Amino acid sequence: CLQVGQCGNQIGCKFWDLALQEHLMYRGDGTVRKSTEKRVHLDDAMSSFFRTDARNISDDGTVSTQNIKARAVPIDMEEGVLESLLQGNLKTLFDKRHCIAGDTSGCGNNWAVGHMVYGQQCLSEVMEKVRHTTEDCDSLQTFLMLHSLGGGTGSGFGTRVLQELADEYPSIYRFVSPVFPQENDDVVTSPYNSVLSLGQLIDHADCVLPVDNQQLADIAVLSQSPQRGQKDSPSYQISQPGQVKSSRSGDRKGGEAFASMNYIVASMLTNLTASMRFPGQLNVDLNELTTNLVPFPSLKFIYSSVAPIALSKHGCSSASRRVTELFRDAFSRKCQLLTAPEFKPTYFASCILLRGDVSLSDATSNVEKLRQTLSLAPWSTEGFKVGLCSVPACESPVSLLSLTNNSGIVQSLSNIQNRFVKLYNVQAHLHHYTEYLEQEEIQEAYMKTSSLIESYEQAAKIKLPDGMRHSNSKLLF
Amino acid sequence: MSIVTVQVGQCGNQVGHALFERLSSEIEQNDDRTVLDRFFYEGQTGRAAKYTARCVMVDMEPKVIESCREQAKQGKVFQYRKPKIQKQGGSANNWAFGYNIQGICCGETIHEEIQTELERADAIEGIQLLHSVGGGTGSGVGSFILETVRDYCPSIPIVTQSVLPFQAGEVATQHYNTLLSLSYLLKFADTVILRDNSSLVSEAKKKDSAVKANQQSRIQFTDINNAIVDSMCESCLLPTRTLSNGRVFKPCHDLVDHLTPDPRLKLIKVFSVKSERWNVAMNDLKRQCKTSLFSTITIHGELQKPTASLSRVEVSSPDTLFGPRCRQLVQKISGPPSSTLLSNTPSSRFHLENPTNKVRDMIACGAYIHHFERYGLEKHDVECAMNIVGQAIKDYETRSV
Repeated sequence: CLQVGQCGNQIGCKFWDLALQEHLMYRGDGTVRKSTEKRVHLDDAMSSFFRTDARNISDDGTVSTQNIKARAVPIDMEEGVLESLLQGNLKTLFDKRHCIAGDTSGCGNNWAVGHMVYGQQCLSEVMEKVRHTTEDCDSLQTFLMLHSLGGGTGSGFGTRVLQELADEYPSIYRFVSPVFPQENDDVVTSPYNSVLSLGQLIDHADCVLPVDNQQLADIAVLSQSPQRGQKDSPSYQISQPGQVKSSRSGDRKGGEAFASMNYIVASMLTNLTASMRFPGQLNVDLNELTTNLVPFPSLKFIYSSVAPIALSKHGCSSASRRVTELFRDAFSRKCQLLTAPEFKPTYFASCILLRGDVSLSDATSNVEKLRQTLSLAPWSTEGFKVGLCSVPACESPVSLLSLTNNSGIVQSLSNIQNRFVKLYNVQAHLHHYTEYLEQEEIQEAYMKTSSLIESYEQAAKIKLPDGMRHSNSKLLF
Repeated sequence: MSIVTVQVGQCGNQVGHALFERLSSEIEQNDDRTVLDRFFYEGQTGRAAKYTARCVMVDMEPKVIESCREQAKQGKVFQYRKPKIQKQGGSANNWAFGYNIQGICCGETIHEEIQTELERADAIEGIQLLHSVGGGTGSGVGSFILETVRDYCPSIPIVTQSVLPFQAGEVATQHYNTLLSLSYLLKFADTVILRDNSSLVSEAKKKDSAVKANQQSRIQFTDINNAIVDSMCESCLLPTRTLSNGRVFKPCHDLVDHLTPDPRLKLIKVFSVKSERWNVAMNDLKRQCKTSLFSTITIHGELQKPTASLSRVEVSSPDTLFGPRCRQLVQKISGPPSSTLLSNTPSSRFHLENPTNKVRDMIACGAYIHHFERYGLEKHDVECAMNIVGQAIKDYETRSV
């Protein structure tokens, strides 16, 4: 996991916290651990994300929870966030040798500084640290990158690293979870940073799972409802992300809001990888997700949503009804981690990852219902991938992560483009960028985003050639 | 006479494990030496277990095989040999990745493992391949194994239990994977026993709702895997025995000879009904399977035929219901009676036509093809597969009139 910039590192912290909680709660075979165990076996499940030095393993094969390290490379171009990471609750998780901090000045919210300047200065050091981390892996499958698009480090330097990963490790999948900026983002240059980053993501990522702050904030509010039973999750603690920088709503309340929002993204990421780490009736690996969700090479932007967002009292619902509610919530506008479009989108592919006490028939009957309600592309009427993982998430006995590739992304991408155009047309702040790159490069990034929007719109319009219409609803039992 | 089982992918291994658990419990219950020798061998277990399964476990990620081995270990009755293939990462639900990358990478090791099992037995009755065709490993690696085994064992019957994915959608690339696998099954297997996830779930629901009148049925994969294994033990894997005329009844050879005598028509579907009454059972099977080219009905247990006094009720005879090429086999075993029909039926066409049509649509739009091209598959290969499957559809069509 590469976490770049302030946003990337804060989400990363939350993700590692949650992942560790999961593995301390459940062993690799799905059985529950006692909460008093201070030493654990680093089983196969855990070692997909965590490692330890051989010298820390005692004779009985266990290792102290203090000696477990995350397979992570935290990166930032200034020291503040990384310092708090290495001094906070999770300090033992991160290997100090793998953290990279550039000089103390940061990127000034400038993509070009991140990509070009630090890209040159710090890239080889970063790749060295990545190499160390990958050498500790028996079988490397995926890089996960966490960053925001609006700032300078996460967007600029993050995409430079992504490009290098694509060059050096072409066969390893690159999953990216970027935070799209809000309409009223306080970073003035965020449209430039975003469009420039998008150009890179389109070229070098295998799968992009964007989230946006507005939607996360709304979900965080919904999840704070009084019914939320925090008592149900005894070992879970929300870690403090550390001092929030003054450039982003610096008061304490803002810090807590970000903590909840980061937790939602962390929850999406842990559910995404649950089937790789824990056993289940129908396993789903990240490479399978790429195959299923990306029907055309450029259409790799995926909506995600997690249910339940609020733990309401489910005591009276039957297990099947609970699953139906999860499906209903996950496909509603309010649970999407990226703002859903105003129009009804066309769905190209969907992936439903269920955790916990879910039966096969619950899953298949709900998928059948979805086929009737969603507007599916005619060439993809069975475009569903189902995963069933037996081990539940920490705080809920059943949960659902839905990942969908649909044409609604056009709206989010167009919004970013429109904000870009407003600035670019008057050449506002452009000189900060042209110091480091040519205007043509900026235009190229814009064109890539435009052609991506066009590809999505065209894909939504594909009709089957006449004479090839087949009765999709005829199911033979 | 022994049967070697090759179980590929998550589905194949889960079904295989259910099968070996059932077989070992039959052995423990009935002390049946023949079943033991057929599916297991003794020695080399130490105190961990009594016998080892004649089985080659193949998967491109470790979790499922480890879980099966762990469950067997806890039972302390039988065990699995440790597989030599230890891969991580799976097959990405991509037939081309499974066949071209994983298959070729592990091909030699898999060959060695299968060869070891074949040589270990005194005499081989047949090889059974357990897999699904919708995913990546069962379909891609399964096709690779089928092709290579046919190459170095040209005369041993190969019978497959091939699980088709849910028709509503289980994997987005399922149609490509299914089509490509079917073309290999039609080319290299002797008999392909099709299992459709959708039908299995609806049958399981019916069975469950008959028992639990008001509650909603919650069917799990273990339920449908057990249903597959039940019908396997009750019909496909009948015991070898010497018949009254001195002939040795060899189920695998018999299955192939009787049910798939025409190499162009290799697909078998399984229908079953649990009823004590003969007429009810026969008529229900007829309702499920309207036309059958070649059939075997296996009766497990005792069925009540209508008594002579009810002369208005004719005894439904399999010959009249399913045509002259229908055999009856009876297993006099205690327990709830059940009847299973193995049928070579033209209605299997649907399972060939559906993926062909869907793939044609998807290729016309260019959907997902880049994933397959990345791993060495070209449009031309897909078209070849469509031709093979198309020919089988035509062969079944001509026989259905």
